[in-house]
Amino acid sequence: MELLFQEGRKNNVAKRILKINSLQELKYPFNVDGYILGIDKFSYLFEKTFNVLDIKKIIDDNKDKEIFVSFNKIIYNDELSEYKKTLLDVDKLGVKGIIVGDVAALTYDLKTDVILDQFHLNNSYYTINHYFKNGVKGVLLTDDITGAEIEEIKQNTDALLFKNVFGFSHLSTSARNLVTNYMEHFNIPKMGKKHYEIKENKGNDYYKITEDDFGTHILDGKLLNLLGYNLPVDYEVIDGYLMDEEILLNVLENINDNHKVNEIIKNKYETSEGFINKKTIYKVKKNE
Amino acid sequence: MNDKKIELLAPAGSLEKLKWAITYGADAVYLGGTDYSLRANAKNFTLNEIKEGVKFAHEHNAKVYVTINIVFHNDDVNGLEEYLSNLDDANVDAIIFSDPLIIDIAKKNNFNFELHLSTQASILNKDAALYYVNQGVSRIVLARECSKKDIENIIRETGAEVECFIHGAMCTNISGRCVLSNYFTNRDANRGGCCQVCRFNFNLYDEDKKQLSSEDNFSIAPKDLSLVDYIKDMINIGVSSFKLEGRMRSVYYVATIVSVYRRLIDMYSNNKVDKEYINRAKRILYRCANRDVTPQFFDKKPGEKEQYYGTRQEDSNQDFLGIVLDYDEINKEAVIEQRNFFKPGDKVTIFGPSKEDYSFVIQTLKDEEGNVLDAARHPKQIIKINCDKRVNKNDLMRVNFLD
Repeated sequence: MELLFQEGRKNNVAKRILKINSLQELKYPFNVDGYILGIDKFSYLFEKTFNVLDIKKIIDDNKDKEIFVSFNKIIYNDELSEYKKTLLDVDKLGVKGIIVGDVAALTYDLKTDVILDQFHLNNSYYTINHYFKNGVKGVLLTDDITGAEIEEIKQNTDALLFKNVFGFSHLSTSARNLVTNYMEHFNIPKMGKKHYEIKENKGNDYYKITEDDFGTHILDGKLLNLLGYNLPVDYEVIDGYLMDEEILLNVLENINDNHKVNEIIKNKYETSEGFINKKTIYKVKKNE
Repeated sequence: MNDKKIELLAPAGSLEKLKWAITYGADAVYLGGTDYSLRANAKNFTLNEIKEGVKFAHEHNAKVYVTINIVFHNDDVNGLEEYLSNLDDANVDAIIFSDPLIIDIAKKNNFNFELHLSTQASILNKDAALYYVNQGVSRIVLARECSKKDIENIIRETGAEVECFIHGAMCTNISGRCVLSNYFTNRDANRGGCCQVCRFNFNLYDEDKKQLSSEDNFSIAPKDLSLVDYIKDMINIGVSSFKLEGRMRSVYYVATIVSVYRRLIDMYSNNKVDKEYINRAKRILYRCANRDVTPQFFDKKPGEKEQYYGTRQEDSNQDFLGIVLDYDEINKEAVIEQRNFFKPGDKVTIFGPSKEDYSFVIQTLKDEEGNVLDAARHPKQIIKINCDKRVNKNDLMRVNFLD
């Protein structure tokens, strides 16, 4: 089954939530139902993170929005006590949901709804139902399943489904500082850039590579844009990480007009629909 | 000191390799079936081969673990329950899995095999480990990013059996948290199709696309892992199973690393440290894979020296010369099936399970009919060579690079 591109959102009941990468984004709350906030020390792939007090204030200032706090990092053993304490502090704030990337959080009996964001590990309704039975309220679906698979998942789970629909897809995370190591090896001065790009000699595609305290992340160089699809999910996630902020805000303002959105982004970014209509393969030859 | 017997766990890419690994000293092997394994393009095992492998292993007091470590999509689950049931009937000892749906199916069917959580689940802390232990998982294969301190604490706090990789190639990225292959080649990394983008070379640019690298010498490839210097530490902190990477590697590779680590583990377990052998072991291990090795995350966060930079990562060699098929006690000759070129005057070493290496110089070389040869040139050619010491079927002959 192919999910047809829809000219504008029709009958779409999914809520839209925005990953907050700057304070500026909180001031332009166009057409979004909620925010995902990164938390200091325990989130990656956010340009801006917040402490518990900041989050409390944001909740107070945005009572019409659903607020999710993202602890999407995987956690080292020596971070656990602070991680747990921070989770329990956020648990008291009354946010709509806590997004976690590490199953350690599932052992803490949190009262707030827990949304599991294991990056690329939630691909089937069987897996999602396992976590749902074990206290998880919802999951962030991977970027590399098809629309038909999402439809089948929706029909077979009561878990809330979250799906990235706009932004640069996250492809990998390493605990190594891959760019810093390279620059050190060749004595290239670091330039304090937000990100770098890589490309194969013979390839045409660029990919974004960025470092933080955890290590190194690689993102697709093409901007995922599924805003025109009616996806059978509960929440659509919009993420301006590494995007030009002005373009992002312009997109948000015009988000219900696909034609206009495409016009806004086309001069700056190459776009992609990811795997929404394309299956991945994994056997390149038949079993002998 | 850990009083439990330490398990040496070896890769088995085929039934033949399974037998070599166990013969050379592995306590257990892990293998993939034709479906559901992260080496989808390896030969892998049919169900009948798994049954034969289990029979061979159990006859030799060894165990067999089957990897079902893909991340399942909806359709992949078709047939899984029946497959698991067949594996249970085949008496496999454990399933190494990463997707928790396996836990639910195993519970529902009350299977006899143990559940071991794969490194693909990227467990870095004790509470994440406890989530799975509370679900009935008996062993955790920790993420390769764990330090000695992490491993020690996780073992102490969870009481779970812990399995750690000690030698072989590593992913650059946290295992399971990488889909580069999906995007570069449409091959699904977490369903066995990984094309190893982390071994590619790239040009590096700044965010304005100004090139920073010299040509395409930007690489994210890590050097290989070796904890050969930390065997004693691993035993002391309570690691239950020492795992070797390499289901796609050759028989020679498997036999070599298994025999070396078998001896090292036994040596440290029995407090009989032979420093000279440790030095020889390191050279043997290095020559076998021909890639640089480091302890990676075990002793510190890897930095500049633990990575490759667009340079050639492997030097091929022809160290593996042949397999011993028989020994002629009367004429003092070994019968060898050739694997690489050798000739009279070459210094060679024959090694086998639970024995000292035997090194000598080839003086005479004959074919099966006894005709004298000036060299062994043809793969699988049967050759007779002088050999004063008795050697056994399935011993291996390599270049003597140590003396």
